[in-house]
Amino acid sequence: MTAPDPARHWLLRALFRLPNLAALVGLILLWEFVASVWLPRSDPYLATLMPPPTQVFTTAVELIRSGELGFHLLASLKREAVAFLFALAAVPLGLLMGWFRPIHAQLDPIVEVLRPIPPLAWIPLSILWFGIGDAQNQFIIFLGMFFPILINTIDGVAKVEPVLVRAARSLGAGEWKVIKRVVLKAALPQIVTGVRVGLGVGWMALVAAELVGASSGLGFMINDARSVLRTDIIVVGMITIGFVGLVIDMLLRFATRKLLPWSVSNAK
Amino acid sequence: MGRLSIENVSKIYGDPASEGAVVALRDVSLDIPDHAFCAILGHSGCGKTTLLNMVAGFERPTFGEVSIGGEPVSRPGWRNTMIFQEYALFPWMNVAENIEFGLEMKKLPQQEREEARRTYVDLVGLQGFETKYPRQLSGGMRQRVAIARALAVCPEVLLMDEPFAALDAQTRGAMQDELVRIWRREPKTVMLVTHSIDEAIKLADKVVVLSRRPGRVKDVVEIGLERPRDEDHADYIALRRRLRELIYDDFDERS
Ligand SMILES: Nc1ncnc2c1ncn2[C@@H]1O[C@H](COP(=O)(O)OP(=O)(O)OP(=O)(O)O)[C@@H](O)[C@H]1O
Ligand SMILES: [Mg+2]
Repeated sequence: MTAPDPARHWLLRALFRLPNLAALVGLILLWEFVASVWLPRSDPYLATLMPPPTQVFTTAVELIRSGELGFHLLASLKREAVAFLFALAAVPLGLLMGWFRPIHAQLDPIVEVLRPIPPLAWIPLSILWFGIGDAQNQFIIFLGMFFPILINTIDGVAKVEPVLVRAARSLGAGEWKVIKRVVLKAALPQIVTGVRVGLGVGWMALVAAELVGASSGLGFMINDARSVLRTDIIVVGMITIGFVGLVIDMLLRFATRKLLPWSVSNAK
Repeated sequence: MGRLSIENVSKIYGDPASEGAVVALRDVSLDIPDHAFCAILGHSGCGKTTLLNMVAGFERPTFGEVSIGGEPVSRPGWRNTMIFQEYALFPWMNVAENIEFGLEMKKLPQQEREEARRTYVDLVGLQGFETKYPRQLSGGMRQRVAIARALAVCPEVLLMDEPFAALDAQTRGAMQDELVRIWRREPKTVMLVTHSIDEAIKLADKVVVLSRRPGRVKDVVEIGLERPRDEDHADYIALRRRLRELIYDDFDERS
């Protein structure tokens, strides 16, 4: 490359000197301008579909005050949690599949057939099976969580260093102790990765399931707001969904660092 | 108790009838008395690890039998514990937990476990490092933990496959001295695989020389020297020459 173009050089320097959130703040300001100044003048109908940030903010405060947001958030979180408890069955199943070849040989084809079906494709069937409500929603979320956890557990077991298994056996560990004290422990970092992915996929599946088959929850809330054209509520719901997903992931990463310190520093 | 006898052991990988079968060991017989330190020397690929794996119970001989104290070896366990070149410490356990692992497998009560752990931490000189994790230790220290962990279960035969190969020369020398000191405090039947003639002479009572593949016992050399062994001693130099000749005259034998 030749010497930097002086103008570009100057621009780049200015870019580096901007505070971290400058782009975000700029975007919000632009949004405010478009939604509350420009659109109402040029196309009043479109303006009702695009709430300005200030209105979103006041609606959010209102929804929090009235407890409505909390109610729906709690309903969603409860579904996510229940589905997660069921999806944890993927851990022992993954251990068995990863450790015992014949079990893997039998179950792997079934997994490979079911896994590529997106959880959302199960929605129609699950509504017929479970009706509209918690059970159906949890089933969809469960499907979203189950496979990432299962696949990562199997993979984690496959990657256990054989010499560690030998060492344990050589110190007198029987089959069960080897699985519990060595295989599970060595695979744990990867299992946790599976749980992180699973919770993320589950959260997406949750919102989709609630859009069509629920009478509470964040997905229901934003779909319900659509029918009365309350775009401000929709946006508040969307932001909440994204934010909670982020918080769940951060909590899990924090827990990993606390509970599996050896795995984190291994990865570094 | 820890007398190790290997009787007419052969190991063939793959179907013996097929073309691709690899004869790793052929008709190996060895008798190692209780508490003797035996080193195995031989070229790469001559079946040293294979032999050790069979004594450790990881593999079964195709023909013949391995027994310890008159009892045939059928599976791995604390009677025939192996120490690995790559240490094989459990990264999620600290030093104390690693050392106590085998004792837990033996179902020793908590108090005895802690006592034994203290004894072996002292023996290998790791006082103050009990709560450290393997990644926080140097290679030499990790190998000490591995030695303490293996000794703590009171094995009848202790197996080591090139235990110091991953260490730098200086640490290796220090660890060899350590091993001799520990072994004299706590005599065990030891079988150690090495590529180094000096390591074999420095450590062992008996050096078993294997021929090129398929491995056979070429000779067993008794090292009658007093410990610690002086490299400049005339007998040491003579032994070194003799072992070197044993290892490198394979070509003559073939032609
Ligand atoms: N699982 C196996 N399957 C097939 N062949 C094997 C297997 N394990 C070892 N061999 C072969 O048996 C022979 C002996 O191997 P072994 O690992 O015992 O040698 P070694 O003396 O330990 O060599 P090195 O000094 O390089 O460690 C080699 O030719 C190897 O290729
Ligand atoms: Mg080897």
